[in-house]
Amino acid sequence: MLEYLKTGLILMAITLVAGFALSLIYELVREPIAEAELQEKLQAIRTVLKDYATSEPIMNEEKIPSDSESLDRFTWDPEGFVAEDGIIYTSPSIRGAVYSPVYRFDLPDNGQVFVLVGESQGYGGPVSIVSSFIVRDGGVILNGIEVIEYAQETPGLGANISYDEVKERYYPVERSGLQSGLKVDKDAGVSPTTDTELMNRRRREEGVIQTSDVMTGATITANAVINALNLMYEFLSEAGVLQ
Amino acid sequence: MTDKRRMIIKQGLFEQNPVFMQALGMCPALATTTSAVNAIGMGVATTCVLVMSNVVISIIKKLIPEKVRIPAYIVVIASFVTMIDMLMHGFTYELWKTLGLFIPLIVVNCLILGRAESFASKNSTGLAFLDGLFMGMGFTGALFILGSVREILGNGSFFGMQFSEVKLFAFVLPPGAYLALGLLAAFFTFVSGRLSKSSKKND
Repeated sequence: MLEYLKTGLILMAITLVAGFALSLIYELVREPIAEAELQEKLQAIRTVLKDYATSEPIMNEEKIPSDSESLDRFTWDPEGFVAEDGIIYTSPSIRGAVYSPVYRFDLPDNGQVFVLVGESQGYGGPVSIVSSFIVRDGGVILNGIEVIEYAQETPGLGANISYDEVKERYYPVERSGLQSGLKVDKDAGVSPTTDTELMNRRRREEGVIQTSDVMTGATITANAVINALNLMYEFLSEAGVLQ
Repeated sequence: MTDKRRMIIKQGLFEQNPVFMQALGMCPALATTTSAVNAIGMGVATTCVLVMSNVVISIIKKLIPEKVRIPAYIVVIASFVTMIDMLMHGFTYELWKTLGLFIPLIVVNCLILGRAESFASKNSTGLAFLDGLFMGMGFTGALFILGSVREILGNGSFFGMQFSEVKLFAFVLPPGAYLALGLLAAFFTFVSGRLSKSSKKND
């Protein structure tokens, strides 16, 4: 009996010491972790706030947020939407989620930029993206995307989504393309082309995204990005900003 | 340097190399070696855990009752893994993201529990430290070689620097991991066999 008690007490002592050490480390890294995640988000927002054509910032560079306080000022609360567990919008028809908060930036020419963070299911886990939609003079255009989470995608295939030349295949898309819903070339029934002009026109006007890996026809990660983008567009329509 | 120490170093790096000779820690060795940088990151994280858990376990080995030694070891190992996970999350964010789930999974790397059970719980702290360090370095080295081979053949790059357009995708994917591991293990066995033969001749 006494031996059991002693054994239990020793184990308890070990776990207590371990728990205490862990809490110390946690206190030490809490701020760096929050900082690292914020920096990544800010960097992604800075990237999507660049004009797709010129790669120049679409708004006054000094106004682009560089810390959490200045970012909070751009938070946008659409009417009729309540954020739950950090998610502001899900849809019955499209898999994925739009995260809260959503950001809105006003442009000098009466236009508005909506920056959304969202995710959809990829090959091995969630693929999270940040995107920017510019709403101006009754029109809307998908201006840019940045992928922030793709850890579970296949290296060499899906994980190539992190390369700029692959991301560039997803934007810009105009209203007609967004309205019919983005889809990969295979699902749209068109064959891949090496003609960049044709590829860009298909995407811009019809929402057809040519996948990066023509050889294997792998589309899971591409579809994750596309689902997230379609979901974001649906959210913006339902929020009534697209007239 | 005493003979025992020299033996520990030689065993960790070559004769008992965790990956190529003992076939321990196969899961991270196959899954995280898609590039040289990932391989080193994983190897260093594992080495840190291994050194710290070896040292702590050899210090408290007399306190731990025989019956509950495994749970006690796991508590120690899991705590260090969680610490490494949190530290990497905070300070090496990019690497932490690419290694993903494999960092928490260091807990179940049989290399670490194996060294705790078979070495640290029976030897002095100094020797346990040395064993952890060189087993860890043997592990890191093996992962690094595997990661380099797979990155060079599969992606035509080394440490992210592109130098070739020839890309054998298979080497980045799981089948390539098995192929590369098998060939490297065979090569390693061949070389170390030769080495021990020639050292016997010299004797």
